[in-house]
Amino acid sequence: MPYRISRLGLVEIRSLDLDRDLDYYLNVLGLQLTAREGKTAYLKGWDERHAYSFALTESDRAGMVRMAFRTVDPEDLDYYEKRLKDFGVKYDSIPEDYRRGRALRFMAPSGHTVELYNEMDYTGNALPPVNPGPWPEGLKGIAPPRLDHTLVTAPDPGKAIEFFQTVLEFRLSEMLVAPDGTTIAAWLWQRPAPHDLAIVPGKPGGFHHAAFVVDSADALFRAADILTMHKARIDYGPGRHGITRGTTLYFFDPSGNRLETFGGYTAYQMDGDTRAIRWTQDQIGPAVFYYSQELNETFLSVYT
Amino acid sequence: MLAAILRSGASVMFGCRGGGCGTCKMRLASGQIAHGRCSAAVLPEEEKQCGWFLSCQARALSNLTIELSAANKYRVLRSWHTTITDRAR
Repeated sequence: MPYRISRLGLVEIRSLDLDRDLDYYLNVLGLQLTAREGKTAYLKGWDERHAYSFALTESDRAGMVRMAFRTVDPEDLDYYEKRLKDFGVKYDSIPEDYRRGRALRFMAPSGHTVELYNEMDYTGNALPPVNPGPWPEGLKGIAPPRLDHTLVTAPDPGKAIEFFQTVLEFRLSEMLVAPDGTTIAAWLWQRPAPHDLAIVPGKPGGFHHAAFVVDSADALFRAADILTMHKARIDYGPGRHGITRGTTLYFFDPSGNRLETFGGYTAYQMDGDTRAIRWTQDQIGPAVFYYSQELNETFLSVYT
Repeated sequence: MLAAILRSGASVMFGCRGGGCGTCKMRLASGQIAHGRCSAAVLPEEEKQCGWFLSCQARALSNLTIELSAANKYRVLRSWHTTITDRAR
């Protein structure tokens, strides 16, 4: 089966105070600002080649507005449109959005607004397109190169996981299983990395975190230094996940949305027939936080 | 207010410290506060009227008396299938 989604292309998050939070996203997290249009700011990591991958919209609450996946080819959008019709999923065809082409927008059983798109303005990354150096000078803050994945909550995770598997053809890389065999949580992929999306139990439409890539242990510790120097609230880490083997640092933005710098450099490669790894419920501690071997109080209960 | 409570040595539950998650919600018995910026999803106007506030965002404007609920003090959350003690409504 070919994969038709190249990556998580966009996460849009709500901000309680856009001026305040934009300062944090630009100078502490260190994303690049593409544009600010009214109540929304469009951002990206320095190594992303399209116009934006992260949007921040002022609201009276925190949490996720939408997640959008980019298809590999333009035709894949037609392929998914047919699948949405075949499975009776109600969707809207959105002709265009800021610097983006047509998208299919629908509500997943988890209560999240999900979009599929292919076209977005190709702006290039922060390096010259000819004879580039390895990284741009003058970056601020943590400066992650790109968005990696998101983790969201669902009241019936099994149903939501099945939707992404069946309708959108995501595959399972890892799953947490109850003694009765029920899937409690799952990590789903299309791009050959451990996950583009993960789903855990919780309220409908809940946003647990969005993760940005860091590419070395040094970068992970430097991220923790920068957050602490700016008195940002760190939730957990630096540490390592049992699930995905990625190194991790969880922290909150000023509106209380959780973010992660994820070290996929320690994770494994996917192959088309890679089978899902199973974690039993009694091992949830090391599955999530490998070194401490137990969950902290906030990981399961605190999200927006 | 959360910072003051923690400085006093009291142990209370809190989450994001950004007014977004609602974990640190408490109830005012008497006194005046300024709420600060809080998510309307976790602290609706009706709750504010009943004295609820998010301690991570609120500032004291007078001497206060606060009611702590069980949810402010202790929760056991070690697995997604473990019973979750109700948060303060």
